[in-house]
Amino acid sequence: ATDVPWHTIEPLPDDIEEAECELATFLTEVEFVAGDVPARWISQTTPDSFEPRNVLLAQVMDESRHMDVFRKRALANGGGLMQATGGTAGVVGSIDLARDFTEMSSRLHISGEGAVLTIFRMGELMAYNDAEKAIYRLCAQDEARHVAFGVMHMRYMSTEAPERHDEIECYLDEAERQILAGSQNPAGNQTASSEALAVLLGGGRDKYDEGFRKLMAIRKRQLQEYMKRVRSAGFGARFENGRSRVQEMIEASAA
Amino acid sequence: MAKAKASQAAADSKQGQPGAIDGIPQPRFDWAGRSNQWGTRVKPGKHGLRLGDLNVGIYGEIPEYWPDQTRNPRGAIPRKGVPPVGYSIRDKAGLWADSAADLYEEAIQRRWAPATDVPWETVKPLNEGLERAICQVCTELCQYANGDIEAISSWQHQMSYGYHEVKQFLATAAFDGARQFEAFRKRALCNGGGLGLEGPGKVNRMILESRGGWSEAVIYLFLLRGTFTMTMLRYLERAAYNDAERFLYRHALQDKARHVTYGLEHLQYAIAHQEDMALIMQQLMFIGDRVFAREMRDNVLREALAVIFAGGIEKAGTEGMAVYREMMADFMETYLGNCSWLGVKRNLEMMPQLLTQYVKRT
Repeated sequence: ATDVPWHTIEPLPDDIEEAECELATFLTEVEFVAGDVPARWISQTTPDSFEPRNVLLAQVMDESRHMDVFRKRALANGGGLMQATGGTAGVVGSIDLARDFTEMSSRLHISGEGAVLTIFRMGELMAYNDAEKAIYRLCAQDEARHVAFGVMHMRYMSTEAPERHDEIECYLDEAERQILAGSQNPAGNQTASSEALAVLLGGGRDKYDEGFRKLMAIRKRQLQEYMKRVRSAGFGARFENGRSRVQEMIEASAA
Repeated sequence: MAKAKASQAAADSKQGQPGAIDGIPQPRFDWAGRSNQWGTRVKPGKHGLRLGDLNVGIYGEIPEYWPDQTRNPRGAIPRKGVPPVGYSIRDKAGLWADSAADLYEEAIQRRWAPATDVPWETVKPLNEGLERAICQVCTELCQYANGDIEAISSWQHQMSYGYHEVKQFLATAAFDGARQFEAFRKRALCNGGGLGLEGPGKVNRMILESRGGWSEAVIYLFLLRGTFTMTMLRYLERAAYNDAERFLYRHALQDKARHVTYGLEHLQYAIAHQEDMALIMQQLMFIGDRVFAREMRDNVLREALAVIFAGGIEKAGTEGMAVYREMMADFMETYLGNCSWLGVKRNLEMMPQLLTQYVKRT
């Protein structure tokens, strides 16, 4: 309500405002997946593990704030909410349907929020006023904590639960299938939100191609940062032994 | 060479058209122009751009039932064919409070950090009996916080997206629980003491085992235990031994006041929109009072509070207990007053004597 300089939002060209509102609709829709899902797991976690519980509770509150801020952005400048994407549906492989905490964390923190974090960090490239810059910067700050938790949890599992390595590799296989193809990544393949992003990055529909090239660079960065996280978590061998196709995806996006 | 020039000419002629360059897919833009209400321009007011300010036009239409089982934001155009996520609470009467948006904003704007906002340096050594008593009360407050966290978290994800104000407020309430747990654990461990005995946990169990819906959980969590916690915090603030404790109790009280406000307003809404809700509440409170009374039979919390109120063990049995009885009388007055405000009849003859002994009768 008060930390974002809302007064700096001035009228934008229609195509830019539409793209902003489409992206904001997507973000207000998906941000609370990361609120609902940890909440369910918190209620099933023993109070003995209060440190991770408290981190997840902070995440739930962060996500409610993100849901709030993107709804506000959509309604603050002559636009409105647009069409939902359905990107967080209850389908196999979705974050909602994880039956194990590490499975959930790999999908939510490492893959999903990792991809969104890259985009928030690129906020300067797609913000049109100080309010949007502040929104992306503050959201990036929050998201970075969530991703860090996911990486550190996976690192813990890597050293303390070697018997679960193969299982976790399967979770990462699923996460990698979703990274560009799934609709939870706003920069994913040919989704409404990715088109909106390209419009914002280019500076308008007539500069879509330029925006798309920047989007490709963001996708490449998403994948590179994902690889760094997984290496940091102790599962980097998958990129050397041919199990993961992420390196191929990076090369394909560069071509 | 001619071929290269022809190719370049073709590319030049397409420039400015999206997807004109090889390798860049043609955009569909099928999302463009699709909005239930365009032209909305909500401006920040004196208190900033608040969540409730967004409820204009279609975005403020909050139906009595939300059938959408997806995460479609209220006011957005739903996408057909999206598999449901599965929200079980879809009736507004099952969770709504008119003040939810305002309470959410207040929670965000009045946040405090136990690590840095509490003047921990003001905590000085106290006599052993007093320190043990404070640590014991802090231990039990941590347990209450755990109950809050688990109860809220287990229900929040079942609430439909159409009532996002409530979901967002409850996210802050769950976080308040985390902060309360953290802050009171810190107080227990910062002055030469430690954590004390686990409380009986009967009320926590009752809250967590309630299966009749979120409203039932609200009755036990906020109306009954929330009112008790608020009363206790108020008395603890009066009896605080340093600025750190005063800060802790005052801010925890402020957080708890929001929870109880939500609870009362939600129950008021539920009673107004559900024919027999007041009767159901009567039944639930009949059970809840008994469980609460059984928990209060345990002497540990009572005696710890008496020691705090008396400044030590020596006068705990007399002066301390006198303040404790005053606190319980205050609690019963507030609790029964809230029931009366809600229009829920309470019969003192049917309530446990352990509670009614504190009721000031006129």
